[in-house]
Amino acid sequence: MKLIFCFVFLLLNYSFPAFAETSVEDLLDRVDELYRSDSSHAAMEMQIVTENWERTTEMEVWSRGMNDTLIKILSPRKDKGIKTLKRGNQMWNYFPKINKVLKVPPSMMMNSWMGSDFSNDDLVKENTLADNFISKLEIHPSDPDKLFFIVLRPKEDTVTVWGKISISIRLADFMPVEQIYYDEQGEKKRVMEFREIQQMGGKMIPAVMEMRTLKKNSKTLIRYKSINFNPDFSENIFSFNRLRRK
Amino acid sequence: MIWKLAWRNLWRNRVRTWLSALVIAIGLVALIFIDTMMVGMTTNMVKNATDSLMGHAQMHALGFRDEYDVKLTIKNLDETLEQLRKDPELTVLSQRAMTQAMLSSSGGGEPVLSLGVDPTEENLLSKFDEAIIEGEYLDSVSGKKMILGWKVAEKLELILGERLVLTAVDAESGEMAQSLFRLSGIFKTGEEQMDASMVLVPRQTLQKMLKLGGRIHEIALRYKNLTPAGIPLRPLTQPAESSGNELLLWTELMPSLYMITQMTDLSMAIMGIILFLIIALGVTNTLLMGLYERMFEFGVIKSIGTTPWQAARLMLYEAICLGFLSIVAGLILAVLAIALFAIYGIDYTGIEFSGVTFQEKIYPSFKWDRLFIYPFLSMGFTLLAAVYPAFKLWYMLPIEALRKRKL
Amino acid sequence: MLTLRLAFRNLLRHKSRSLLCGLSMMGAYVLFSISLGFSDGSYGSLIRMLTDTHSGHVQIHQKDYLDAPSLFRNFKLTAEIKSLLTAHPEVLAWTPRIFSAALIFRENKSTIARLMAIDPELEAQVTTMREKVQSGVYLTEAVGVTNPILLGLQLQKLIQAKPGDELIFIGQGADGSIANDLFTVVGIVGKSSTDAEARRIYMTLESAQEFLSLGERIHEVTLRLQNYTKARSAAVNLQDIFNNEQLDVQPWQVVEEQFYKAMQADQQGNWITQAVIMLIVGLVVLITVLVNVFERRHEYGLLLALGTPPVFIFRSVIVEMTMLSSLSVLVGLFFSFSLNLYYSVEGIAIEPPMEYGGVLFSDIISEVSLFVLFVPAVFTIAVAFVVAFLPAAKSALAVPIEAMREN
Repeated sequence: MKLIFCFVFLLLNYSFPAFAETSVEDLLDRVDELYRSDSSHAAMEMQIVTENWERTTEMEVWSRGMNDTLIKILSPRKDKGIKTLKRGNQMWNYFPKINKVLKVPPSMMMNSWMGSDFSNDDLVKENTLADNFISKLEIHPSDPDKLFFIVLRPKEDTVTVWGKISISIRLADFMPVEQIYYDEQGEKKRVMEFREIQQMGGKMIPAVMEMRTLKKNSKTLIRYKSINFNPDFSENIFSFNRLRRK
Repeated sequence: MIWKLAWRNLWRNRVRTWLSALVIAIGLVALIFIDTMMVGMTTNMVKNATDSLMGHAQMHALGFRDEYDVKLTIKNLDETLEQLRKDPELTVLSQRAMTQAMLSSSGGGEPVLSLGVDPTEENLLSKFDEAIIEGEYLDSVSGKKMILGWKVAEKLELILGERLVLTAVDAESGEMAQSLFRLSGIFKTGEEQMDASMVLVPRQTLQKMLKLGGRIHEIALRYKNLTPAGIPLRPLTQPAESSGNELLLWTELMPSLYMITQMTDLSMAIMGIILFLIIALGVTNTLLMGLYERMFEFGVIKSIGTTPWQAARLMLYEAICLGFLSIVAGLILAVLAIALFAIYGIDYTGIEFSGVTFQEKIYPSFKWDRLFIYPFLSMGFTLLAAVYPAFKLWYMLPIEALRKRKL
Repeated sequence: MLTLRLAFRNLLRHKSRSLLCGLSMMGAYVLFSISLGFSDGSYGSLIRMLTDTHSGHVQIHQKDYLDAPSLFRNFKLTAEIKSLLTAHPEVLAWTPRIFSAALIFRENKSTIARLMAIDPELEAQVTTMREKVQSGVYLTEAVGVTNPILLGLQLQKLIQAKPGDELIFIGQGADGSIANDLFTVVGIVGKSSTDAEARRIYMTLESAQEFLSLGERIHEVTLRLQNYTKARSAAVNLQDIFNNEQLDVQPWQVVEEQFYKAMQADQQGNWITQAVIMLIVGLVVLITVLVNVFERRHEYGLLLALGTPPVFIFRSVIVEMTMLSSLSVLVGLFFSFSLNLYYSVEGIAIEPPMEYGGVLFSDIISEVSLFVLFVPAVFTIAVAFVVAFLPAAKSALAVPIEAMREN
């Protein structure tokens, strides 16, 4: 879902100032503002566990604003050198073994990205929170003293399959803790947890994000190894020509 | 006078006559019965196929059927529609936009074929509303309702009213197009393909999502006045080569099904031949028997002046009378047998044959012409069987016959 | 012994009559035999065509595979399994297979294709795979090519590839990795776009196991048996021998359930036809016998008057009729054998070929078997025997003077 990555970039690029009182609109405004944020360069590890297989991949990720992203796989050996380039809402893959760049056909967009619990669509679509969801600040069901509870409901016409999304944020430092996706009956379908909040690249961020798809018994865990905010990289990183080079 | 003689002769040996008549009659009944059943079966299958989404004929842009490319819409839609509507045999016409798409719900995704229809138009053709098992059929040519097959619903664990997102590629620039729908009904057609991978949405909504304007991909057509094989009696006017469209009958769209109808004709022919041969045997046997035992008698009448031709004619007339008797008996039995099965039918439901699943029991299909053809053929064969005996009678020398006395 | 000689002599005494009756019975028998021959032959050839072209006679899978095929429902082809199969007396040949799907790219065209990986040598011993290649070469003749594939005709039309071209395959490995590799087209398979082959890509087992990270795992082992009619028992036997809960061994009737069900339904209908033919044949024999006996009442009356015990009459009638029918059948055997044999080799062509349960058929052929030759024989003789009882009794118990007055 698009929102996850909204949040990823949100976290990579912003730290919530500690306001005495914050309204939902403020929070969401901040989030929206962040879409115009800067770039980042990170090293991360993704572990996917499904009913049939388990795999741990190491990647390097470059991003610029909300539009351009380049992901390069470092390990395991079989997938090493595979790159995914996203520009706007289009996506390409590069496979070093066969030395080819392939545009991901729209028909494949809804498929999961690399077998994870995220879809290609999640990485690509623009779906701003404020415009398309109605947000409400509520009392947190289990930990009201420590956590904000934002409940987002899609507008009638919003193109999404979720009936409700809830975000739990720490009162103290505005760090997200949990994000849950519900269907319209209110049943939990996907749960994302944020853990190991620590200093990285000069900011406080959760180093671990874990997404679980409840029915399929699968989970995807992303762990940040290191992050460089506002790094120095040339524009060329996001060009096609660069794809074929190491 | 010879007729009277012929008829009386038959009755001189009642048992034999009745038995022969019985053979012919039962053969006739068998043929008629099996024929009507087979026709019933193929009619059933054809009806199943054409009453569903297929219709009797469909029009597409050339090349569309290869890959269902969303950009290949029907050319010159208005003119084309006008042309099609000119045909007086046309009963229903349904316009459809369609594309391969991905259906997503909170429970996962599934590749589907999405059909954009005008519910009222479509329902006259494919009767989807009868197949709805939960919820309701579509009610408008625009809006957000979606109906889909029960297998999809089961796989994704869908509930009525649920949010569904359809993702496809638009016809303008090949960009990703998405739209929100709400599950309003679930259908069960019995056709594996349809129940597991088809969704129906309002046409205008789909056209908007795919940036089609008013264009469509398929026109399905139904006609009245069909041949027994389900083909429109009057040949359809084909669109010109240059029009860029093609109009195909169901026989070309589902060639395997068409093959079955041809096939049954062939098996009927073989069966018919075998049966007729057996019948001919029985008849020849009877007639020759009768000939031999009356050899003396024929010798007598030939020596007192009956011409060979008259004698031969006698034999032929006997055959005709026999045939006539048998046919009457046979027809009565045939009607009874058909009536019996018209009430009970043969149950093949659920079996899939050549891409079509049987939905209902098979009932005999009554064709008046059959009631004439088969008896006619039976009489023909009976006559044929009588030729040899008649011939024998024709050239038999009276003196030899007189010598034969009784066997 | 005396009875037999007498019976034979009696038959000879009425040469024409005996000949006539004999011919009738022979004719009925031969026709019945041919009808059974074609019916059995048709089904036999249907089954053979299905099993020869694709499904083999028995298949082995991971236990849940048939319920819902999936890349992950695979099993290891161990040395143990291989040796058990090779050693089994009923197994003529076996071949391993892998099934999957991938996105294939050629220049800017792409589509999703179903993959079937085979061991080219072994596969050619079990099915007619080699003959399916329409242009280019078979996988075994692709020398020096790392990843050779056979491309289905329909796919070829979509992406416009020809032998020698390289395609990019993207898929998902069994370990979650992104499968990507280059494959070279060496041949095209499929005669028309509706063939099952036309929509598939065939590759070697090694290529697939590498591409999909399957190691030594496969999805299916297909077997060819010495005698396909033993499929069910062989499957049960193999399941026992393997003694492995994870494996599931099934005969073609289960693997190709749709086809089998359709065939069974068809056979049921066929039985009705055969029953009718049997009835007619029975009637013809009935007439023949009755006619024969009744004609000779005069003779029997005479014998009775002279003091012959009725039992004798009774017996001789029965024996004569049985003998006559046996002789007719014996002679008929020659004809039924040669006719069925001829038609089993040179079938009747169906133009154009038809599709049944997913397989294409082009001829109707007959079959020569004990069943086809002897069942009608036994039936004919049995009917003659039974039918003779009543007239035999009547003749034996007749009042001599009245009998002598008959005709």
